[in-house]
Amino acid sequence: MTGVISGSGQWAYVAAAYGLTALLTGIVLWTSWSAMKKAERRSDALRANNRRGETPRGDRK
Amino acid sequence: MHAYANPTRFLAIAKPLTPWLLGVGLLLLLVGGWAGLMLVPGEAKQGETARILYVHVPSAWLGMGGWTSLAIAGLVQLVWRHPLAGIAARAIAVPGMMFTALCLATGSIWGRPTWGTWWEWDGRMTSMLVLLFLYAGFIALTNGDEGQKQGGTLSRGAAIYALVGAINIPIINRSVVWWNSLHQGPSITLRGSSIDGALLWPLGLTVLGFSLLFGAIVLMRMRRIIADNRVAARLRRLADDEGN
Amino acid sequence: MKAKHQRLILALLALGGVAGAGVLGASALRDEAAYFRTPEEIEAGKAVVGEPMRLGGMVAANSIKRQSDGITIVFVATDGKASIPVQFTGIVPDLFAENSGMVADGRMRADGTFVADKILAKHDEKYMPPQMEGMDKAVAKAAAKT
Repeated sequence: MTGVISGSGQWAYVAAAYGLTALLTGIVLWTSWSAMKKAERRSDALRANNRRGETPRGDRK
Repeated sequence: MHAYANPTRFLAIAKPLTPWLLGVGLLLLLVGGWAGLMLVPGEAKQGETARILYVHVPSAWLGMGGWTSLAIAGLVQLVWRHPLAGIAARAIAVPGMMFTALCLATGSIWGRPTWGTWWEWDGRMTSMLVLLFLYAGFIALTNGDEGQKQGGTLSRGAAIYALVGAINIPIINRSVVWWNSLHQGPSITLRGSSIDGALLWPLGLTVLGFSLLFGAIVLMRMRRIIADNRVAARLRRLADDEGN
Repeated sequence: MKAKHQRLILALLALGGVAGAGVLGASALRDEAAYFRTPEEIEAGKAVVGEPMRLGGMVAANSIKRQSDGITIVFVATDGKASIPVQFTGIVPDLFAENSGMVADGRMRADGTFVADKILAKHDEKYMPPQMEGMDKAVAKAAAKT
C-alpha cells in the first residue's frame, strides 16, 4: 500500500512479457518464411518442368 | 490470364521489399527493446513493470490495425474483385491474431502487479478478447484447403465477415471512454501524450519496428499464397491438357 | 462498371447499417457494460443494499485509516461529486494509495458503508520518470479539483 511498485520481483513480469513476445513473433516469422520458401520452390520447379515442353499447349503465360 | 498480371507486378515489388522490411524492422526492435529494458528509467509508480508498455502497445496497435486492413482488403475484394486484396486479407489474419494474443497476454502480465489481477471482464479486455475470436473465425473460414476452394482468394462470405467484424475496432478504441473500465484511458491522443518524453521514445521505435515486421510477415504469407495458387492453376491446366 | 458501383453502394449501406446497430447496441449497453459504479451513481440510488457490486473511484486524501486489528482498513472513495466510505480486510495492491484510483468488489451495508472483499488498483494514463513524481502528484491534485 505504498502507491509504488517496488522490489526485484517486477523483473520477472517484464521478462515474461518480453520473452513471450519474442517467442511468438519468432515462431510466426519462421513458419511464414519457411512456408513461403517451400511454396515458391514448388511453383518454380513446376514452371521449369512446363518450360521443357511436357505439355502440348506449353506455358501460356 | 488477367488474374496473373497483378500478382506478377506485385511480386516484382514484394520480393525485394521483404528482406528490407524484415532487416530494418528487426534492427529497430533490437534498439527499441534494448532502450526500453536498459536505457530508460522505471516509471514513478509502476516501477520496472511499466517497461511492458513497449511490447504491449505495438501488439494492440497491430492487432487492431490488422483487422482494419483486413476489412479494407475484404471491401476491395468484394467491390472491385481484386484478387490481390483477398490474398492480402488472408495473409493478415495469422499475424493479426498473434499480435492480438500478445496484447492480451502482455496486458495480463502487466495487470497482475499493477492492478492486482490477471484478468477482469471490463470493456477493453472483453472487446479485445472478442477480436481474438474474430480472427480465429476468419482463419477457420479461409485457411488452407478452404482458401484453395475459393480459387486462392477470399469468398464473399469471408469478406462480409471481415467487414462486419470491423465494428469491433471502434468499440475497442472507445471502450475506455464510453464505459468506466479498469483499463486506463488513452495515453496518446491527438492532443498529445501523457507518457513523459523520457519514457516515450523507445515506444516509437518498437511500434515502427513491429509494424515493419508485420509488413514483412504479410508479404511472406502473400507470396506463399500466390505461389500455391500458381501451382494449383498449373496442375489444373496439366490435368485439362491430359484430358484432351 | 455499373455492377461495381452497385456492389460498392450495397457494401457501404450494409456497413453503415452494421455500424449504426453497433453504436445503438453500445449505447444501450452503457450501463450494463460499465465495469464499476461511481460514488455519484450509488448516491443517486443505483445500489441495492447487500447486492454484490463494484465501486470505483479515487481514494480521498488523508482518508486511509487502519483499524486496531491491523489488517482492516477504512477509506473514502470519491469521484469529486460524491463520497462513499469503504471498509476492507485483506491485502491491497502496491499501487493502492491516497489520491489514486481503485476498484472494489463488495456490497453496500445499510449504514452507507461499502464493504469490500477485493480491491484492485487502477492506474491512470500517465507515465512519468521517477524524478518527476512530485510534479505528477501536483498534476493529479489539480485534476482532482476540476
